[in-house]
Amino acid sequence: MWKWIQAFASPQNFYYTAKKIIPWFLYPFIALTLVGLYWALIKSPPDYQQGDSVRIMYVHVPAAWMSLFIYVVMAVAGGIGLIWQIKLANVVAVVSAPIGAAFTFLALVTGAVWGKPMWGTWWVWDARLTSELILLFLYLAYMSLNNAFDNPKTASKASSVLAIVGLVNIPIIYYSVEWWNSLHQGSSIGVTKVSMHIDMFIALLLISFAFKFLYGVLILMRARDELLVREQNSRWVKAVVMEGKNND
Amino acid sequence: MIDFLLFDKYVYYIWFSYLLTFGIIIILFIRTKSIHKNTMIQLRIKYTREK
Amino acid sequence: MTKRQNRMLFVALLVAGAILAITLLLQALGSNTNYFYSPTEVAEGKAPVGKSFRLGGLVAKGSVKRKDMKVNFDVTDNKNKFNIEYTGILPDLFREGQGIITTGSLVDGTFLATEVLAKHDENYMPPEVADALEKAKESKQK
Repeated sequence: MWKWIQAFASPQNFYYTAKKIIPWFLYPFIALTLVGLYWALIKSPPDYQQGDSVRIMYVHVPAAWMSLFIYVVMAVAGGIGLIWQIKLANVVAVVSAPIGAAFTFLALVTGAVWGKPMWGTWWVWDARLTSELILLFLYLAYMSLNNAFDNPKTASKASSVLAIVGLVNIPIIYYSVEWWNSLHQGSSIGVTKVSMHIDMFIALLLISFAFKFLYGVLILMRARDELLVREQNSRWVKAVVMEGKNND
Repeated sequence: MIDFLLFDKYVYYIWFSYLLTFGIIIILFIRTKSIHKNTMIQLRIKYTREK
Repeated sequence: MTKRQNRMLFVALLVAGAILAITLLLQALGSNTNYFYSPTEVAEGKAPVGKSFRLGGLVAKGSVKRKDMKVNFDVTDNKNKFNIEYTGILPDLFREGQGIITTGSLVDGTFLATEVLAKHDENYMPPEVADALEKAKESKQK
């Protein structure tokens, strides 16, 4: 088992395997997006209080979920890279950051656009909104810390520490609506209950799976390039780059 | 045909959210492609210089 | 201890330290992190006096009185209630029975609001379902 993991995680092996599995993420992403859009914009009913504006939820909530999910992946991968010094783990952590930041930004902006007509304000400094904004700053800090070092190995060490410390913000974001009085409402999707209409729930699930696959496609593509840069002194990278082997 | 997409008074808020979402997805893909291109160019320059 | 175990310990300490620091910070912040006070909390004197604060609760049924741009209504948590006076545009979700959060200050028992925000709950359903639920509730009460 351990040998198998090591073999897969070897940079060269991953470089070729990743290329093969990209379509396995790309096509489900496209399919889920199309079906998800149909469900979100056409099939699902308007809300009894919010009318059609509830449709903003189908991009807002999946984006917010992704912002948390990617951060956890990034911090765990960073931790694995720190402890076991697996190069691939560091690469996954580094390429995840800008994608996570993009989803966090999307969650914040769509939240504001939804909040304006419903709550009556674009922004409030309540616990949920503030902790999500801190998440965006954590991603940005992680990215700039990574760029501050010339040596990617040193950079990964420093930024992984930041990512792991920042992990405490994740439960704070998730439970903020329960721990404190906030303007933001509580979670509709729990382990034991779903307090929304089934067609709304399906739309939400379709788009959130679409986003998961999108993340898969993007980290596979970006990890391949990051690996080339980090392994640029090994012979196989030179072969890939100079002989045009598998380099599309 | 198109009337189902002309939502009540929230139409601009809704369309803005969805267009922004797809704008960001497209930017992520373009950026990924340009990183790839850059990596290849930089590495090629480095290896050619070493020869 | 091997080098790897050393690094594990480092990561573990890092996580523990971060959790400890944040817990202490949150303890220190306490209720300051609450975005609003409930009518009961205000009645118990927990809200700042003579300063602007936020009051959150439900708009009491049958209490909304409009006069031009001026609105008067009660905010309740089913235990205590306060009368709110507000001039301006209300959010779309404002209606009787709705949760709201209002900013302002208490003057002679009346809450003079400078801002009214609507809060919505985590339940989403189509209007038909909401109607059916409402009817079921009414027939039960009869």
